[in-house]
Amino acid sequence: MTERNDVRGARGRRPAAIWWFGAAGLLAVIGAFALFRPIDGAPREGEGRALEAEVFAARMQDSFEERRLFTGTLSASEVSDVGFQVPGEIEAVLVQIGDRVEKGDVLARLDPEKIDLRREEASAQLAEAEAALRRARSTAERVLDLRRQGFATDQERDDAVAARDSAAERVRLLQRASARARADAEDASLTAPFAGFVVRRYADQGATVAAGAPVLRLSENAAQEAEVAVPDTLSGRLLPGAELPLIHRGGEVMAKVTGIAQDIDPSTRSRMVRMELPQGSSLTPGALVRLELTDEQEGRGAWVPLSALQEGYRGLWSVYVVEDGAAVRKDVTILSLSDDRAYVSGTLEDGDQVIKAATFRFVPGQKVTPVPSSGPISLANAGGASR
Amino acid sequence: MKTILYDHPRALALAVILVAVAGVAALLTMPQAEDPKIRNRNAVILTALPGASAERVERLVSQVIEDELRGLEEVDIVSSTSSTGLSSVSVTLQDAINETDQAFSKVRDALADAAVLLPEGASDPRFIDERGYAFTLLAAIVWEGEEAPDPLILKRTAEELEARLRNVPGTEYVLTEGVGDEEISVTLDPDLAASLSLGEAEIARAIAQADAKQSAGQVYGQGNELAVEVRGELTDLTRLRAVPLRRGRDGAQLLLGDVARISRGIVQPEPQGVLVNGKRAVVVGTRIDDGLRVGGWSARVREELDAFEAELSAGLELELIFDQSVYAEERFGSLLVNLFVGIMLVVAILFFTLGFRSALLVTAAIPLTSLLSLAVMNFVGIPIHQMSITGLIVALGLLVDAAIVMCDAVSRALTRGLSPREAVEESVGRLWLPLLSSTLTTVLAFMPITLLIGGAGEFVGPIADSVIIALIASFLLAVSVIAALAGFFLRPEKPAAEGGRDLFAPIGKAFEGALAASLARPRLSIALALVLPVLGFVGAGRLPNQFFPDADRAQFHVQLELHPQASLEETERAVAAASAVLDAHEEIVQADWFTGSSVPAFYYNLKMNRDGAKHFAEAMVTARELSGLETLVNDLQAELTAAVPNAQVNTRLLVQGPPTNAPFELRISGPNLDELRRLGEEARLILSEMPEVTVSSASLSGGEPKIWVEADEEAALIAGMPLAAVSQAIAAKLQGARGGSVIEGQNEIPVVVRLGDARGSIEELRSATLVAPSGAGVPLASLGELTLQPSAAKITRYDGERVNNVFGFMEAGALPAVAITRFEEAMAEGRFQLPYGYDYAFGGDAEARSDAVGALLASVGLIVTLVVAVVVLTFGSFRLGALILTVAGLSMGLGMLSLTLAGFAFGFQPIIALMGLMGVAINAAIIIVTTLREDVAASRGEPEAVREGVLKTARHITSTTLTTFAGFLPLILSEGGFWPPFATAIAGGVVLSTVVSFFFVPQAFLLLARGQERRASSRSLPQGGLAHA
Repeated sequence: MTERNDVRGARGRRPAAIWWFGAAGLLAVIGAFALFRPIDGAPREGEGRALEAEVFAARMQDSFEERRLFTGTLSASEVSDVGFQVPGEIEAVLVQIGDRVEKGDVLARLDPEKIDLRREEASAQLAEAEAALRRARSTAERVLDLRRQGFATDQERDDAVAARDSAAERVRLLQRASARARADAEDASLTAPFAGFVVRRYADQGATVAAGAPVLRLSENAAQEAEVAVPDTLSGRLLPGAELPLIHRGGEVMAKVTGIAQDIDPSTRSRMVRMELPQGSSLTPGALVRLELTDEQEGRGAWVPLSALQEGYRGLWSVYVVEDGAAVRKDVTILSLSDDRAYVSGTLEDGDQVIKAATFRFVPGQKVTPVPSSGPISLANAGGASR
Repeated sequence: MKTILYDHPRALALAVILVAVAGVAALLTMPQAEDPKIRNRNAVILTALPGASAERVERLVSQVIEDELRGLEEVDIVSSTSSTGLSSVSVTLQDAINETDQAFSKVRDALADAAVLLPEGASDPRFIDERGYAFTLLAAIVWEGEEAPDPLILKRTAEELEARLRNVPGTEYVLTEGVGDEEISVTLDPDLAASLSLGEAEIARAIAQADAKQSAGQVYGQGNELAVEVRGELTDLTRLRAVPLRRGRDGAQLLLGDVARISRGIVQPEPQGVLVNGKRAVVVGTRIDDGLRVGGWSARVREELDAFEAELSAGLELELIFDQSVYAEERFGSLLVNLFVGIMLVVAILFFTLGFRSALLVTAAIPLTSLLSLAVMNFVGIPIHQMSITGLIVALGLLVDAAIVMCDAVSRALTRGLSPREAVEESVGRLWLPLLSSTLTTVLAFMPITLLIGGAGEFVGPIADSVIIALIASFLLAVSVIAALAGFFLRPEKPAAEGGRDLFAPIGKAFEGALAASLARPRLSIALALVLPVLGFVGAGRLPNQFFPDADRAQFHVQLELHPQASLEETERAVAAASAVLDAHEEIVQADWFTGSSVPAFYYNLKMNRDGAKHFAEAMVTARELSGLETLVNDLQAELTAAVPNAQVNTRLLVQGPPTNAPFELRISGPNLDELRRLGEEARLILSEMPEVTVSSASLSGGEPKIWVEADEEAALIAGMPLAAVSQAIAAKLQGARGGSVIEGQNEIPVVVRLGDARGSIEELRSATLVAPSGAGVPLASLGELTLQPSAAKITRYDGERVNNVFGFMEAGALPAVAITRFEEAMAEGRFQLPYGYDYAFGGDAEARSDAVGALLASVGLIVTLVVAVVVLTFGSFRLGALILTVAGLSMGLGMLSLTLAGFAFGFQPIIALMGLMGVAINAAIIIVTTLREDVAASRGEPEAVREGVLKTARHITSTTLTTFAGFLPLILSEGGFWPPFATAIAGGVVLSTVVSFFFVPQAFLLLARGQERRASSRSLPQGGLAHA
């Protein structure tokens, strides 16, 4: 390729054969180079690359726990409205909502003036009746004497005795009334029937209340109860006396099942379960609690994160495990779900190196380099690990 | 006529000045861009059908829209992806459609028709067609503060910036990425709400009731009309807290603030996030309008950005993370340097071969022709970009030829003792036809590219357009201005001057010897000359195909894909791990991560189609330099895969050409999803065994786990909740219910009510209490069980059929065609067999290539006929026409040979180079044949005369060859995947085609002339042979 011209007049002839050999040789070199030169981007020899995959060892277990939560409300076991047994005008209410009271504490008082008047009235009436009784007695004695002496008729004797008895009855009656008036004076102060909290105040100072009208609501602070609606399908598993955890804002308490309603509420398809909380729990009545039911179920399987699951065929699930450096698909069925993991059973075996996530990267038979999982996965039998 | 400009020197001066002024004016005002704008023929239609499974979305939404759109004649391909709750239908218009706006408005109309047929609950179809173009500039507002970033502040700042950038003249489109929508969330404790029997819907209603934003009429007074409005619209959070929900006994009111936590912020959980150099940011992308200069517009935007940065709050930084103008300038800069060096080499060579004066003239011809071409390009509306400049460079190789030939002819005529005027007249008269003929044939060779339609046509078409313009300009200038100038400037060559070239005398003698030897045995010479082109054709068979080369930008992108149900936090953890790997590389200047969406398109063929994909993250990575990028990308692929084993890592270089999903794409179509998936897995297994394939994926991979509420219908009915009510109540619980809105500044922020923790876990959902329409609380658990079942994550369709798209991604530097070849081998081995009713097709790069090649070949028949007509008319001889066409074919073989020798892949730049090469070779052949035909002895078939004739042309053929080679030399040696194959094919081919010119054409002419002579003598016709009549 070194033609360079601009030569005129020069007519030097060389043996043509040199040219032909030269040309043929040059062509041969170029041809060999063109046909056997390695070319960039041409297919190269080698195996497909193995993709790294985060794996964890499957741990098979014989049973698993299923955790369910149900909402309920807390109620005090004893809530009562208290009121004066006597009517009257309220002089003072001594407690406020939220106050803690002990049994026998005075909660409220009625105006004492009228009660005192009533008591004095009763004692005056009693004194009057006693005076009448005394007169009737002496009258009766005299008439009896006179009768014995024959000065009086039977009729007169009977009248006198009746008058005496009647007076005695009246005294007894008024004695009762007087005693009641005295008691009323005591009833003018309302005392706490049990230890607890004031949760509501119905009447204030100056109000006139009828006998028995509620003035305050007291809530017992001792044992509390929870009512939890549990779907009827699950309530059958609960037995009275069983101790179960109740979760509330502050933590968890154990409560005892005291009763299960025998009917199903048609609007919620659930049964009410009554549970008693231990004494002295600091929960406020009305608070919301959750019943945690952990249900140990038979079934051999292993926990896997949801990210490890890949759709199999016809609605089956599968996981990919690494065997001999290649991805192998293992079909599984899901027995239970919890948070972000699933309890699966199927062709999975103990110790299988299960690919943890991004399974869509693999197809069965593909080469994989397993990398032991570094993330915190609590896939062992840990029922409430994530709560 | 032939000497009109020579006779009128003022007209000549005016012509030169006119060309110069028009060209310079065009150069200063022409639109400039990095790449040609490929008209967007793609649109996406998004329709939501909340909660529906992929199958239901497919049947009820995607198929309905598809059927409606497939009836439109403008529409080429309709494909769709149906995923849980979302249908995404993608429409591609016919390639022949240039008025895309009109076509899209027809699509919109059809969509309106389809909307009526959609099921209840489906959102209005959203039509998106502004995604087709890349952003010109990306600016990030970065949180630099110590405290945890507040996305709300970032978002509001970005919105302000967005508004300002929109006002910059010449801005077409602005978009904020990296932050979700704002909302005011009203969160209730679910148990509390249940115990109060308050449902989300009820609360939302109460809020909406309290929001008195509507007008309350007007007071019509005597002189004034006053509008009346009720105070109490939702203005801020305090007002919202005071919204009464319910009246208790004793007049106590339950206020919203009492039971709910009210907060303002970004929708939680956040749908997307952006990390710029590891810091939380929001990115504002802006795009330049058509027909503007990137440089000037970019400067205006930068000014605006500087002004904005000055006002920016402390703790926030404004960072320009991408600016196309930098790349455009860099590209043009290096190109111009290469061009300049090339031209200097050309000039230097011309000084030796043509002498001082001729060289000066030819050198003047280069800028003159370029300026004239630019002026015409400006007039026709072709902007300056990579492709049109490529065209000019191709033409440069050709356009000096005409000038050289003309100067040479004039100079020879002068040397023969003709007067300058006679010399010009003779040269123009002798050369205009062959020059026109060679120009026309070359123009025709480039016609198929000009006529190419669609994306590929818009991409490579400008090359051919500018080549054609430059060639015609070059021809016109050569026969007019250059010829006239030659008459003025050139002097007869003095024989003494040849003494200086004695240096080359031995080479000249050798050449002469070789020529004589070959003319002595023309058949042998022809046979040997054919060896090289044949080697080229054979060798080209070994060349791998890479139709579109890698982009010459020191940028690439990294994609991370986690399992489909991964949360944004999970994805961000993966991003952190990947980011650490990138940071460890010093070659990397910048890496910006977009989590939950695609990177805003920073290259013209990137697709932004991962909106709302929380399990997806993508990084735009800028490296320090282009060299070593392939190695870096391949290393990163391996390192990232190891560092983030729970995600699919895909490190990709930018590639030229129309957008494709993946280099390797296999579309398997058929009816059954399970079967399609199985076939997809088989295909992916084959792919996984190829060393070049990094990762593969399938559009129909396994379904994502979905929680199904197996509600007992009867139980639900008794509880007063039909199943639809159950579904609505759960949706309200998980998504929240909207009620009212708060206006803050220019933003209207919706208020969303939702109940606390129901979204936290499966157990929370299971223990959730739904609120029945009656107001009673119904535990979800009492209605039925929750089970986990697979639901097809997405269902993809293509042209009305279900398909499984299998994507294979290749390591940097590997070619997609290799994967296809290997896959076809595997199919031949019977490893991938399709059952009846299933079909496959290759998409991706292969489809783009075959589309482009198909379109290219469509017009080839007509063009070949025209070329034949031109050549035959020029020579008035079919034999000589056939000879010229043979030379064209052989030159292509030689171009391929030089590609093979250099080891480049075969793609679209070599195709264009081969066409240019054909032009040069034809040019040379036409000159030789013309010269020989002028010689009566040569036409009679006398070897001596032929030798003399060839030697006469040898000077300028060698000149043009050397100048072409020298002109392309800097590009051959340049970096990147675009120029070297192109320049090698054309320059190598031109050098090799001298073999054809000197050892095939004259010999063939000799044989033809002898044949003619024999026939003529046997028929005893007057002698004349192949000479001019």
